[in-house]
Amino acid sequence: MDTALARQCILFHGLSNQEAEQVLALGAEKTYRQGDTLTVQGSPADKVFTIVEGMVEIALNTREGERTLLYLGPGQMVGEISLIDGGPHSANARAVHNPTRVLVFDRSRLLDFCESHPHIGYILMRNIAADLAFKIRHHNLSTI
Amino acid sequence: MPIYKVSYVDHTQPGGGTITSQRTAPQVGEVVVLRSKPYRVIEVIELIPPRGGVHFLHATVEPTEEKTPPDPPDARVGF
Repeated sequence: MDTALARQCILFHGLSNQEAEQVLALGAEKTYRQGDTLTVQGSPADKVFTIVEGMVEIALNTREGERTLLYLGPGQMVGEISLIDGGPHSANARAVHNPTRVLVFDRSRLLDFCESHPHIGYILMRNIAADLAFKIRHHNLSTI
Repeated sequence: MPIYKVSYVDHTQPGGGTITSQRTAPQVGEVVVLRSKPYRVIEVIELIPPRGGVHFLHATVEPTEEKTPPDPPDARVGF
């Protein structure tokens, strides 16, 4: 993974180059094709994703069928809710572009790293919180 | 180099919009391509103050038939 490219993802904001390299080393690059599933609503969540290239659709199962909540492009995170609260995936996430390239992090490995590296862990958690806050602001503005 | 994290919303259609990060800020009047469809930007506001070289913007868009100058699809959006 190109470090400079990955560093433009919100997860890495505020980290030094050395710190970013340490976090990058925890992840694995994965490429999805259009229609591939990243997460399934209600399923156990053990991964968190950062989109590097492409686009991911976030959708909810409803009584009327699946409803699209939003689309996430490069730099955005998928699976951060479950990373924080430990619950199952809150939505379906599906690649809608060819290719959709992501960095995948194992949840427990990332959390263990944050525990053992509190300074980096603080920055990562702040970035994840900021990403969640931005999504809430986006949702509020989209429902006006 | 600044990064612009942008919330795009099209109030004319359901679907919740798009959040993406890009290297340039969207401008009112320009055509952006989201999910391979052209949209005209009709409003841009700063959602929160910039932090660490990252700008947080919200853009209201509407569908347009107009094509954006260069291709490929979504070239303008993303890194």
